[in-house]
Amino acid sequence: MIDFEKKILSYHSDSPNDTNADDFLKRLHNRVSESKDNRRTIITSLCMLMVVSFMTFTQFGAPTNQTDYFYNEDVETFLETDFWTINSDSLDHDESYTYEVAYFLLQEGYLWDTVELLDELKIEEEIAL
Amino acid sequence: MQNDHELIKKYQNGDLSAYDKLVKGHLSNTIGFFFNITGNRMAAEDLAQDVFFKLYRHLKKFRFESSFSTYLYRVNLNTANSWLKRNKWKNILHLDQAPEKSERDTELENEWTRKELWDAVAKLPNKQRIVVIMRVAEEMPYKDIAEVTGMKEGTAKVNFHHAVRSLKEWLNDD
Repeated sequence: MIDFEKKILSYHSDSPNDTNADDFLKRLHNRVSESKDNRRTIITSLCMLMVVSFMTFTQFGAPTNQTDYFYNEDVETFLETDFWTINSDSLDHDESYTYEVAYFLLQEGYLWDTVELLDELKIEEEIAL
Repeated sequence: MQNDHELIKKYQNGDLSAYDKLVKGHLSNTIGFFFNITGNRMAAEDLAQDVFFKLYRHLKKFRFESSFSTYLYRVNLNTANSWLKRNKWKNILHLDQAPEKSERDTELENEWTRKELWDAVAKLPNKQRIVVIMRVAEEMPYKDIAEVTGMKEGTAKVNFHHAVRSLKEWLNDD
């Protein structure tokens, strides 16, 4: 056991003295500068990734105004013969139209024409009843 | 001649030439330490590069609580430990490869080679491995081993004794 221990300990050897310290330092500094470059690249990449992720998440630069769709919900007025209009009375629509025309004639100063139109409307209502 | 702590202080203040002086002062010992383990000068230099590269980054936070030599021993020890563990896996994965003979193995043709010794050391439990590395590669007295590793002197002796017994068995040394 003791012999074996001595044998192991005798494995120690003197360090090689032919190492060029300047070459060693040169390689070390190269490695350090490479590491710094790599670190800089990684940090820049991470920053870019964060900015892109942030912009994607917040939809930065995307137009905020939503597209407006113009359509008429009141299809009954256009498609009076369709099955949607079965339950509605077309007279209601005619009545409002006639009143609007009457107001227009009044504003324009056609007083007698207005009276005549209203009479006509009254007669039509009586006929319908 | 400036001492290590002065050089470290200068380095921490941005004087890179102080770091170069520090490296030059400890280069021979560090390479020697790794040469005793690897038996190969190139591998020893590469490991020494790893050590001084680590120091370049971590020495800025050195707190002067211990001597630089003790600090350097710890870094050397950790690096050697990692190398041995890495080599252990290499050996497992490349079973078909013949072991490489190191520069000094020719002296011990009929006995176990340096590689066989350190492959066996790699199989030891962590504490035993550390003590063996320091005893064999650095010829450190138990007192210093205790200081570097933080274990008691007696514990270091017991660990070395157990390690030697295991190594003797594994290397079939009569």
